[in-house]
Amino acid sequence: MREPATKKAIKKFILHLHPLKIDKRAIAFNRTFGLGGIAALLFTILFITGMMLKFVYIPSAGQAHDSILSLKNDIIFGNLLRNLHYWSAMLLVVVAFLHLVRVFYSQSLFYERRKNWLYGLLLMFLVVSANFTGYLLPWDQLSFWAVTIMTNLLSYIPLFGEGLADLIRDGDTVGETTLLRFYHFHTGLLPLLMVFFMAIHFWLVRKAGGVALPKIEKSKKVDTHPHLTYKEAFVALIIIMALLLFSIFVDAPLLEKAKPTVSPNPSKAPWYFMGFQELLMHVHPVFGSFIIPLAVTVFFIAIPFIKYQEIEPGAWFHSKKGRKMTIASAVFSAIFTFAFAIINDAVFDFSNRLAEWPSLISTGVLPTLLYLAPVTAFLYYFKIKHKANRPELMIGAVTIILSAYITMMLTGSLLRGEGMQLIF
Amino acid sequence: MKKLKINRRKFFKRFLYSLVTLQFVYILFRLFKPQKEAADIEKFYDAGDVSFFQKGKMYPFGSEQFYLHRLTDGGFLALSSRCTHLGCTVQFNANNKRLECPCHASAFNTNGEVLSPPATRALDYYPVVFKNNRVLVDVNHPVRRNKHDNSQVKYV
Ligand code: HEM
Ligand code: FES
Repeated sequence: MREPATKKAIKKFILHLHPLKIDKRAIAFNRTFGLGGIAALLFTILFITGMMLKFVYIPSAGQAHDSILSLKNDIIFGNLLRNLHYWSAMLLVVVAFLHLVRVFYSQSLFYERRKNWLYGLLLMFLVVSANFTGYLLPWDQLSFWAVTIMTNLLSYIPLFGEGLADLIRDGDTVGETTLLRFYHFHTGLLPLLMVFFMAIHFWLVRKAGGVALPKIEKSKKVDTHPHLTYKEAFVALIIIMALLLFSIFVDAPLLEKAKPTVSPNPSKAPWYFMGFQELLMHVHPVFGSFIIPLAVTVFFIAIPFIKYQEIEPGAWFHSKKGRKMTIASAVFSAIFTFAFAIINDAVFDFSNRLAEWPSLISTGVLPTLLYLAPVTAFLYYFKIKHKANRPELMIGAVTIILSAYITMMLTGSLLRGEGMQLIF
Repeated sequence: MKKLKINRRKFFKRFLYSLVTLQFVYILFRLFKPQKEAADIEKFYDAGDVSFFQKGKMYPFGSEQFYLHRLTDGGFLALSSRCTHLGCTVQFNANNKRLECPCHASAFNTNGEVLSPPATRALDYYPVVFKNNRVLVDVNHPVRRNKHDNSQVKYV
């Protein structure tokens, strides 16, 4: 009689997360693509592998790199353990981002889900922070300089940037105490906060009555167990298998031990911050490091709080028109952003041409306005010509921002070589 | 907008919560705030004898991350080798007589002035003092500056 008892226990536990019966449409794979669940799974994998890594890793500038080497070379499955942790972490950034994208495009962030959107944004911030603090720990040439670059990007924030960067690094350069600080954020405070906010996040999903679905006359309900639970287990197994296979064949990067006197050429921030670094190459630091990121953050926070005449929670892209706008905006933004970056440097060249102007105007206000004008015209065209309503315009605007960031990130990561020159 | 309903009890409750939160935030802030050491001549880096340094030459001190520049008029300037763009370590190119950053190609002259962007500020410098004819550099206190000017150069 053991079997049924375990089964019952599992069932009872899972049914604390899920309701007993669930709308059939909610568990269709293309409703959520399982992205939130995959993020939770990856967090769990990271927690377990991270706990194990903690037994080997030594958080000091002198020994960190050697402890990673000994993990790789002397400990059975040590390399696999490190690879698993590394690839899960990278995947979590991607999956959390895709989850955000899915929540937005399926319009699942309005009314009772507003608060959860905010907790979601906070979780996104925590995911990126956790990844970034972990990035430094191997103390190799890649991680040392990536963190140097990133913390110095922050110091361009006007007024408090310098102080903030010093607070994060514990001093004006990346050193021994920075490593200790990052280690404790990465293995203590951040995971704790994430567990806490994930619990609230899940609870709010249930409180809102599960995932958002478009209203229909009569919905069909099925038992959560086995209909949802088996699907979840299936997706989890596939992810775990894929991660394992990938980690067996692809090693996480590890360069030589950090040398503060020798900077590699070029030096780049971690890939997910490359859009940010790329932006700073084109506009005044006050705009690149402060005004534009702040504006984008405020905009994302505000999305569900703006007044709309008609919202369709749970309807993908709001409407057919919304879907068309998404595609058009993504293509427009990718091409326009890339072209603008090149024209801004090669043709406008405001920093030289308008050298006598205050640089805040010539390389800050001016390029920003020149960028925004065609974007506004593009959205205005949809409003007038295609009678796009506010949710649809919002979808267009968000798509433009996301596509612009991805374009800059790819340009910075893939198309820039020595001295950060474009490689064509 | 709903009218805010607040009575005395609620007010004090919130007031106390805010105070406790502020205090907590302040303690955290102090915990993370980097310790700034006072200038202490014992901790200055002894670069060598004054007479050792020839006029018009640059001397690298790799481990301490600075370049000591003896100007043609005999003055001393200790330049930080941290690029003011994003903090990479600049290298002296003796052929061009300039400091070049490997990361994003900024360049500085031997006084630390910007020759080519993306850097916009001159290199930081370290205070220099002379004692018993030796050059002492306060390597713990880099000084930020926008431009180079002659008051930053020290004479024996
Ligand atoms: C550690 C990261 C995260 C985890 C583990 C997580 C987990 C989940 C899970 C399991 C769900 C249930 C539906 C689904 O699977 O899609 C969900 C829904 C939701 N998430 Fe997340 N999430 C994370 C980050 C985010 C982010 C970055 C956002 C966006 C800002 C976000 C906003 C939302 C919202 C608004 C819902 C409700 C969607 C609906 O009702 O259809 N979450 N999350
Ligand atoms: S850090 Fe020196 S040019 Fe960027």
